[in-house]
Amino acid sequence: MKEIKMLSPTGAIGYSPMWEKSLYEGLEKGVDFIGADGGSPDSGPFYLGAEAPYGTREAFKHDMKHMLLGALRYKIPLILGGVGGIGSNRQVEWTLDIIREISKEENLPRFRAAVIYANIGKEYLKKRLLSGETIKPLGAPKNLTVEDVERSKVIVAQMGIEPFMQALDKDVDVIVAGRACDDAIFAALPIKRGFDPGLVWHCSKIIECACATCVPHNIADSVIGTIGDDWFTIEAAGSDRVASVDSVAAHTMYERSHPWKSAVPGGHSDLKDCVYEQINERTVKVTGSKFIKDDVYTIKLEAVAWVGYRTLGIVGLRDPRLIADIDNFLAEGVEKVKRAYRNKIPEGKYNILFHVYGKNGVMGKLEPQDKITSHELCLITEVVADTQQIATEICSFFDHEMLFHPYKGIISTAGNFAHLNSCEVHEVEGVYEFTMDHLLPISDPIELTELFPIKIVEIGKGNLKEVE
Amino acid sequence: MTNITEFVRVLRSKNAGPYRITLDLIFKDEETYNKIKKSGAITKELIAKLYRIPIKDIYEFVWYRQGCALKSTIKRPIPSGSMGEADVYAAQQHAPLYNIEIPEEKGI
Repeated sequence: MKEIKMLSPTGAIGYSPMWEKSLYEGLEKGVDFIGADGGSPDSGPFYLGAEAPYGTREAFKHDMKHMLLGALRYKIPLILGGVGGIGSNRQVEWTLDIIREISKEENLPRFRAAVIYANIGKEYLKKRLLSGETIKPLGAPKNLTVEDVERSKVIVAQMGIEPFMQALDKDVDVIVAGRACDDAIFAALPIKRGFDPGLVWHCSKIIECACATCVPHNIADSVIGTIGDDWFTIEAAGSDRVASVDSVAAHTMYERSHPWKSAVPGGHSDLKDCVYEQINERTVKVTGSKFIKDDVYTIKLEAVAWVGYRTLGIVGLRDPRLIADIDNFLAEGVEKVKRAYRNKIPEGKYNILFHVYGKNGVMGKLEPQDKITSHELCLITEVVADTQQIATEICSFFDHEMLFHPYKGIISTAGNFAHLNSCEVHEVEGVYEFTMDHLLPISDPIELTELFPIKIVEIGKGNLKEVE
Repeated sequence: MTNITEFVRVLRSKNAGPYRITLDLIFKDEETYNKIKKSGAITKELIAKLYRIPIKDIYEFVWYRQGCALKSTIKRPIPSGSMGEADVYAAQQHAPLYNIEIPEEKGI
């Protein structure tokens, strides 16, 4: 009977260092390939905007090292997507740099890698929009506009299985891909080998977050998906965790809009009639997963734009009269800022926002509880401005001015805030926002080759040589 | 009235893309799932009331037998990570679900 085994060691390369013990335990069982993704816009627009790694460089390098050592030792493909954070071109280069470093330090044997890029050019999108084409949103509120394209800082598209399949044809040991549909990283090889797409996509979806589908839950511990003729199984690679019907079924519906429909490039999974079965205490068997091809192939565009520099003030409030008057207090603070800066900084150049923990800091508009029941509040003042200097100046002014502001009924005259530390304001990472979450129709598969170009490189002893 | 926590093993919220929050209620077993579903105690209207949002902001409200679960996906007031937004992963937006009470005659 035909079978393929795929190993997923982490839900996001370098998010927290993977438990390599289960990776090697899994490899010992004999698997056909290792796959992993590097992150997604789930963590907000920042990582794409700043093209920053998702975790620390050290954690990323740790994960890369063990995956490379494992794959090369067992002579199986290593397939990676969305590397370096989300998988912009710059993040791909950053990843290649780390691979070169590892190859030198670990004296890795010479190997061939396919590098697949996923940045999308502004001119290409503008041309399609200006030709009168409509690019519809997936979750975004409106169709894509030329203005959205122009103001975007970085634009990527999620590749499906096709670029991976093309790269696999080029006799490579490793694939380092930019932004990709997480499930496609795993689905490409089994589909290429003729396994049923319904089973392949569902199994890929479940294992792409590693042992998040097992109990106890952990995204940095290896999981193995095995696909057969009309079934697949999920098992933890290591001995510390188990897959259960509950954990696998629950993960199937994790972080998506619909419990049994899951869209991927080129189609969607229909999992309504799936059967989950516990075949032994560690393994779950799944049957009945279907895949339905879309009439029009689409890829998902993701992009972000820069919004502004940000400075935060973090203070605690404990005075009951101040807590009772908090809404007026903040409104008066904003008025003071406006008055003081009226002739210096135009109002449109900065935004002042408050997160009041203990009131509605977590849920904002969605918070159903009106009454404050906490005896203390944490006030975070967030100022977003055109320059870091303006953000810090306004944030500082607010803090200093409101420290002695006479709110209603005040009898405490030595300061309204408990400061966490002596530096009252904190310059933190800037604000980005999503500009694209749209579906780009692809009429000709040739277009996919152009949108996701592949480069073949040879890596060994710290060198990287482009060969194709 | 019996609180929802007597019937579920998971109550959670999470991003479903940057513009949506998905709410999952996973029941203790299939029997509990069937009884709560049949009782009609949890409806789209109830979700709207708990979050004080209009019905049109509820994109999905789907019972899922295989997962012994109810999934409802709602509009995010501010997209993930945008200015003023405070829960990037939308992982703490489920708390109002704790307020669901199942009438005795409808529950178990």
